[in-house]
Amino acid sequence: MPFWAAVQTMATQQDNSAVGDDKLVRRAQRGDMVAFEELVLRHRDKIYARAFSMMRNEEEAVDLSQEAWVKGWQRLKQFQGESSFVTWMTRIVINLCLDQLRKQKRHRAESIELMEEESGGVERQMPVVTVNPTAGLERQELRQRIDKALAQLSVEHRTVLILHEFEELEYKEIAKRMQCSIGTVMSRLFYARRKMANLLAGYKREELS
Amino acid sequence: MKQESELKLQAYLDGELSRWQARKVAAWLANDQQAKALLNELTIAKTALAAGEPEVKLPESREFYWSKIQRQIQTVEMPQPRPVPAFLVAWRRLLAPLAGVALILFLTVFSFQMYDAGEDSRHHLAVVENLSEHTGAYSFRSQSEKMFVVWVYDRSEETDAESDPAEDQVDQ
Repeated sequence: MPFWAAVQTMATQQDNSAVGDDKLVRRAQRGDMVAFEELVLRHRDKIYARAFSMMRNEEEAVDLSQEAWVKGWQRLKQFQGESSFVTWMTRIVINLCLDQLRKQKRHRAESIELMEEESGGVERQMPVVTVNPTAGLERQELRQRIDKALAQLSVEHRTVLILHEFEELEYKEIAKRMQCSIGTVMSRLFYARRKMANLLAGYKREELS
Repeated sequence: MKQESELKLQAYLDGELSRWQARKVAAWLANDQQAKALLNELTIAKTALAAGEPEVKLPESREFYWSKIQRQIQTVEMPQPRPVPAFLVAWRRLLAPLAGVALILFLTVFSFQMYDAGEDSRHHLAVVENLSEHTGAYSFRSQSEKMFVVWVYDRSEETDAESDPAEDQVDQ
């Protein structure tokens, strides 16, 4: 890139940092790649974080998040602004992750453990957590523990928790996206929460002992 | 506790019940300690997740990350070559052998024409250039007989026999 063109691009990027998402989206919809680049740079961590929380694999998360941005660019004209741009992009990356997880599930043997998950095999025997194990924790510490616990959950339990707690989707919407019944979503969510509470209580016990 | 009741409790927590159903569950909770404890546990998980979503940073530099996206977009947006219609594909398959046949036909006809044009020259008589002052030569070529004959003769005899006195005079 010639020197002056590079200087001009840098100047445009600096100008864009003060512009709101809506305006950048409209410019990107007209084919302005610099505006789209600003959107990518602004929300890249959020989109990557969602992919990583679902896949628990850095490389896959990077690839899927990039694929989501490419899809976002291709479908940008369909974006009507009913939700925020970043919410719209998050839905795209979630769908890509769900597709990827489905592909992986097809290759994975259905174990007894997996079948028991939906009917609460182990989780049914767990004692009820009565004392809040996260009370008094610093935000950073809480994040670390939740991250650790999420990594210990099955794909199905983790996905339903992410969609419900982080994305705030209703049962019906989760069922549609995960291609299962509402009953299955409720059951998975129930046991995922129970397991999460017990894992957090376990970390607390470890800390005290 | 029945699984149905457990899930109803959870739906109550998530605000997925109708008002009437929610009131029913609230009344049940007021009298059931076990249900209350279970609801408390579900609430612990829910609030912990709401407050502590893990923060993850992209492990790549912004320039590198964007450059890969940009490259993919450019690849996707490159105009794809138009699919060739089926009848053209079939024609292409025939075209090479047809061109071969046409070339053979052309060469055959052309060589026959050459052969016909050379009909008169099947018997060809020519004077052969000769640098000797004393000898001359004629050649005769016949394609049909596959022969080539050269006559060599003495020039002095030719001069004696065919000399024209008038010409001699002009030369002088």
